[in-house]
Amino acid sequence: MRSSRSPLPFTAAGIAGRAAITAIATLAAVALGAGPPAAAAPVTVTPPPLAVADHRLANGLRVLLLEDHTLPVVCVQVWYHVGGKNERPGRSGFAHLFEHLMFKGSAHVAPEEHSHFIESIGGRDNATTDWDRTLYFETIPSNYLERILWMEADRMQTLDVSEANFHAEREVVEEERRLRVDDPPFGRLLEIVFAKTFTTHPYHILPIGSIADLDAATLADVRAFYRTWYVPQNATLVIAGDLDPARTMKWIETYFGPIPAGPPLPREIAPEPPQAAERREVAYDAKAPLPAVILTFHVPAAKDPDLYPLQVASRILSEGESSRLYRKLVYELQIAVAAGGQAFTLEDPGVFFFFAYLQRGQKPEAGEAALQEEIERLRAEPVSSGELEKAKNQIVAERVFERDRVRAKADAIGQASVILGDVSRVNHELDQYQKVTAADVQRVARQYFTTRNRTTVFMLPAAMQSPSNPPAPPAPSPPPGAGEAPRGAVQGASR
Amino acid sequence: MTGRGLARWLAHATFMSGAIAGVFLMVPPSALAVPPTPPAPQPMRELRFPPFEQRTLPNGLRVIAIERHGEPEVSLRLMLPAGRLYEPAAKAGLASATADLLTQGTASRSAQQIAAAIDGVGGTLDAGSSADFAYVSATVTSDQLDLALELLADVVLHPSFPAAEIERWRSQSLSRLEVQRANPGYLADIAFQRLVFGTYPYGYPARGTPESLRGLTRDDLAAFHRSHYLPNGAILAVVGDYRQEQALAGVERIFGGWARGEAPRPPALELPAYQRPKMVVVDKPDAVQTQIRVGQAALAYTDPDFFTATVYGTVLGGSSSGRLFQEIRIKRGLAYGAYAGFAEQLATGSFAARTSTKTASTVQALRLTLDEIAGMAKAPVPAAELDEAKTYLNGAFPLEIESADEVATRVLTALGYGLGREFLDSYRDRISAVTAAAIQRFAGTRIHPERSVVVLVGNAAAFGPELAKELGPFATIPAAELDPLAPDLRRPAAPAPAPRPGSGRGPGG
Repeated sequence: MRSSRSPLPFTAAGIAGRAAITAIATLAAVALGAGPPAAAAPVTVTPPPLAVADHRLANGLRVLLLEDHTLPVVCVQVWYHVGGKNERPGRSGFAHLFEHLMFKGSAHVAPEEHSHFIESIGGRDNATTDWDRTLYFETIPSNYLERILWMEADRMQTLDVSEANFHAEREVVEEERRLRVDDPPFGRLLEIVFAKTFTTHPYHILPIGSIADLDAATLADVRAFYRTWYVPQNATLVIAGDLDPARTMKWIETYFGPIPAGPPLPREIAPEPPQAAERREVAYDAKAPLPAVILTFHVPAAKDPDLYPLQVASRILSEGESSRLYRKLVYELQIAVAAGGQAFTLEDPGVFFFFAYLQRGQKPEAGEAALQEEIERLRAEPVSSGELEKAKNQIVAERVFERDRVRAKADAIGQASVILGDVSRVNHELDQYQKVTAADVQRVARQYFTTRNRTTVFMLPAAMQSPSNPPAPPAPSPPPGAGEAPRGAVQGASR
Repeated sequence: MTGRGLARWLAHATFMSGAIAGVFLMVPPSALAVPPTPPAPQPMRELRFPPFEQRTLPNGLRVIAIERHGEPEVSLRLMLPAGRLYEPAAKAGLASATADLLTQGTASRSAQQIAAAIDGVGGTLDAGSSADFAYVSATVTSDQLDLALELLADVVLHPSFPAAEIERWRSQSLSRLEVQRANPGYLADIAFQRLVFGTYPYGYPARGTPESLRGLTRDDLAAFHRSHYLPNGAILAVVGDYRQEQALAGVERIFGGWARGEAPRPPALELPAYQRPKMVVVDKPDAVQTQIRVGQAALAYTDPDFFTATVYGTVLGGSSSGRLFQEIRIKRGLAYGAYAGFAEQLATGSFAARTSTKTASTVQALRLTLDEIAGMAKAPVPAAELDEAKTYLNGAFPLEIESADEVATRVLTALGYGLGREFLDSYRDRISAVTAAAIQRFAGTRIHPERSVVVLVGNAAAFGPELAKELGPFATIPAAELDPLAPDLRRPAAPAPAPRPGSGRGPGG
């Protein structure tokens, strides 16, 4: 996933991909953090701008190069601008299944050889899939750059999608879903929340997809997906590190230049209609060890400037033990073991989450009321200057620290170009954060954190389901408004 | 090495099951744009370790200054000879307890105030310990260097070890140990370590045992701090974007008054001398898998054979290209992973091969492990295999020094062990210089399979008879009775139940 800070202690199913066995943010880890607010000095440094060279081959392949000779190391990333949201109805999980198949060999690279080779030279590789993009990356000793470009070009053009590979890998993906979604505590929480929050837009379904859809997939579907999306005009090659730009461009022309651009891309996606009324859902789940309360609000796309104050709000609400939600729900009321709120930024309009994992025996309504009280406070009064300063300091420091690594630089460049649509944003983002005022935070809270824009989900331990506690929506009853999710959608995802 | 090996294991976990079957290419071969032959690598690029300045303050504190102007950040890392090597007998876990509690309160700041001060500027402040050293580190944006120096000095010089924080630490540590003891891999590691190092401090678990943790007092921590956290013997690295003179002036101002003392000395090395393989089975009747450890005490980090040992370990079991992985996992599918390596320690480190396999193949996997170790002495490593191991090591090295803190750690480790900066500068050259003959000599003279320690954690009843028949007698310890503090590693049955961790906190919270 894009942020290392997970908004919820769910597994990264459907967000991180095949091999990214992302650490599960445990309840305990979420609950750890800072002390009470302190008057911190403002952090005034800014990271030096990244001088990105921006090229486009005749076949449409975007190439973004960053020279950095600190170490003889280079990070190569191929961003395919396809993710869960580009799947056809009934074919969920394709982008992610595809990510697995990309390691099963191509014309000149044997199955598994890709990763084995990178490991053998002391490098690291991986891939992830989310709703918006599929990302392949390798960090390697820089003297192997040409070899890796050859390997990436080979699998862009000649992937080996055999019947046997397809079936074997589909089983692996289904196991992955069981491991990350169906088995872990709260594993299905995110799935239920997205299914309820989005009614029309394909963010409705997690990128991991459903077992039923995966089982229904055919080899012909898979080949069509590859021919449509795994083409130069839909790819961005980002290389950061110890490279010679002229020589690197020559190699890229040699290996990627002759690959055909591909047919026109079917990019149309039905937008999510504005939410007309609050939605509510109660799910009982044997894998929920504690009661969980989630509130979501629709927010704009990642590139919208309102995301800056929303991200600042997210820090103030959730970062550390001095954050508002921790202090209120965990420390003062002692009804929750963890609580937070975070913007989940996506290419199309996304969501802002508030969550609370309650102590055993606590009523979800109490958690909801406490979260709502903090939301009202954010709407009613400006945040303090101390809170604002600390949030900005943390954002700046995090960016500075992570830029030590060529991979983080490449991540930032690719994200700006592919998801935000403007590579230069990689160098302007921190200025925008520094400009955020307390009034901005209050404005976005008032604009987006409204009842009408709210979806409320309770996920409760199965043991709480009893004749005296039927699985009905809690009070207040949801007004049956327009844009309501068909109930079957959520129930279909429940088991 | 174990951590990285494990990460690699996991990273490859999801794509091992695919069948290699009929090839279907998306494009007819005649239309392929990509040439069939992979391009050869360019020559290996030079790795320039950043230059550094060394200075020793009058009180003996060594200061290493490394300027790196890429990003506006500074990492501080202080290393002290205060690891578990210096723990008194029966105080297992004291070194890590002392380090853990440094940041939990000082004479002038509460734990919350320390956390708030560093979080307020988005920085990090950590303390911990290893076999030989304790460390305290801080990373901040470069404009917060003074704050970081002040906080770091405060927690190192003036920790107050508040009683309430000690109790909170104790209950968290006990519940963590309880969780760890359910893990057969952990049981295998602590039993192996104890058998290899005997009652030398390296033999005890890094984070103690439930019994030893319950016995630690505030006075123990304060005394360990008083006698081991001294400027003489300590090294401070300052790495990042700052002006050297300014930083050194700050260091002298803040650490200049730190009073020197009598530097601690490690106890004389005494190890068990086994005349034949020492085999111990930790019995877990409910286990479906057996954890296997094979090894012995081998060599100190400063040993001239260290580079030979590193290449030896890589050939035998450094990655999925290693012999153990190839034989046990790839050829026979007996295990998820199989690795070998050397622990980097001051007095001496262990050599260990590790794998785990289903109960039924326990003896077969153990046999293969022993055979591969023995095989290293029988014939020289073929040239291609040797090259592959060196390529791996030399390629991985720069990836491990990307961040300021990673650079600080590397420099401090080399200097802390008494190695000069040439150790870092010449690392790749010296790896490249290791010959097949040197590895065979090392295998024949410094690895002694006939005196090795073998630990198996699993269902003893299921594999015990085959094990005895194939490899001879062994001792059995029920898992619940494994106690590294006991002379024979075994405590009487039915110990007092561990106190429950405080309510309202998650596991390990």
